[in-house]
Amino acid sequence: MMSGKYKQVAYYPGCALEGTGHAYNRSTKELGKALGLDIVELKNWNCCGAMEVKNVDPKLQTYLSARNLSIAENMGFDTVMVPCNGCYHNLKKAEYDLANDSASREVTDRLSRKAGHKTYEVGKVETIHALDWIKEAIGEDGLKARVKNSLKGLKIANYYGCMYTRPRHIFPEKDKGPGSESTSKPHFMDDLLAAAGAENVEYPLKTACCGGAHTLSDSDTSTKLVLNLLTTAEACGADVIATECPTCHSGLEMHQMRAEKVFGRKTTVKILYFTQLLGMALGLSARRVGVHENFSDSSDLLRARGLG
Amino acid sequence: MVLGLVSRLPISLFMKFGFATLFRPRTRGWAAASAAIEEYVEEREAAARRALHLDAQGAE
Repeated sequence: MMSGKYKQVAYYPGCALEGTGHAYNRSTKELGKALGLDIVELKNWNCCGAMEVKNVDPKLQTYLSARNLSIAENMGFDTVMVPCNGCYHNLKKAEYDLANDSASREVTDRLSRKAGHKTYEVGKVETIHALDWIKEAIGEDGLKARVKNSLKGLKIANYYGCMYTRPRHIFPEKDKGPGSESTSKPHFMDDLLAAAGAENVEYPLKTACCGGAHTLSDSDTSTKLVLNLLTTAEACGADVIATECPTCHSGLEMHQMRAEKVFGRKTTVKILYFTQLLGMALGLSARRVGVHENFSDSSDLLRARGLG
Repeated sequence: MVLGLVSRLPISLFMKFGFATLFRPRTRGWAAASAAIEEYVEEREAAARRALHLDAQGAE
C-alpha cells in the first residue's frame, strides 16, 4: 500500500553522493523510479557544511544547510529527502538551531540577505532520510508486494552509523513509540530489508562510529574502528553489511582493504547500500544499482544468490 | 583484491565528474553567498584575534 505521503519530495544528494557515494545516488534514484516515487533534485544546492565548516564557525554550517532548505521551500516543497547521514544530520541540526538559537537566526538572516535569497523560515520544510522516505511512502507491505528477487537466505548486519540518531534532540520525531524510529536501536533499515526477504542478524554495533571524521588525520584508529565493525558482523554470521551513509560505506570498504594490508586482518563480509539491496530485490540488475561502482567486490555472492 | 579494484575502476565516471566540475557545476550564482561568507569569517577571525590579544600577523 502506498500512503501518498512522500510520493513526491525534493531531493538533496549532497557532495558525497556526487563523488565516492555515486552508487548510493544512482541506486536511490533507481529505487525511487522502480517504486513509482518522484524525486526532484534541489536546484543550485550547496554543501551542507559537512564536518569541516563547523570547525570554522558552527553558525556558518547552519546557514549553508538553511540555504538548501530555502531552495526546497522556493521550489514549492515541504519535504526534502536526504540519503547521506551527514547531510541529514546537518539539515536537522540547522532546523533545530534556527528554532532554538537567536544568534544562529541572526547570522543566517544576515548571510541570506547578502547572498540575495529568502531567509529560510523554520518549520517550512521537513527533512527526512531515505529510510523514512521508503518506510513511509511504500512501507513493508508495499515492498513485499513488489519483491521479484527475494533476498531470502541473505544474512545482513544493518549498520546505521553515528549521525543518523545523534544527538537525539535534533530528531524530535524519533523515539515516539511503535512505528517511529529508535535512536538507541534503529530498525527502519532492518524492517525494509526483512520485507525484501533478508535475514537480519542481531548486530550490536548498529550505531557505532566508523571513524569517518578522522580517516585522514588518524587512519590507524579509523581502520581499527572499522575492523571492529567488520569482525563483529562476521561473528554475528552476516554475509553483508547494509549501509545508509556514504561516508560509512566508503570507510568500511577502504579500511577493509587497509586492515588486510596494514594489520594483516582479512575479512570477507560484503558491503552494500540498502538501496542497492532493495533495488535488486525489486528486480533491478546489479549494474543498474551501481554495484560495479562499489570498491567492495560482492559480485560472486550476488551471483550465487541469483541477484547479480 | 588490488587487481579486482583496478579492473572495476569506474574510469568513465571519474571523467564525468571532471567534466561536470568544469562545465556543469551544481551551484550557480554562488558569488554573492561566497562573498557574504568570506566577510563573516573575516569578521569572526578578527574578533577571535582581538579576544586573544593577537596582532594581524598572528604574533603576540
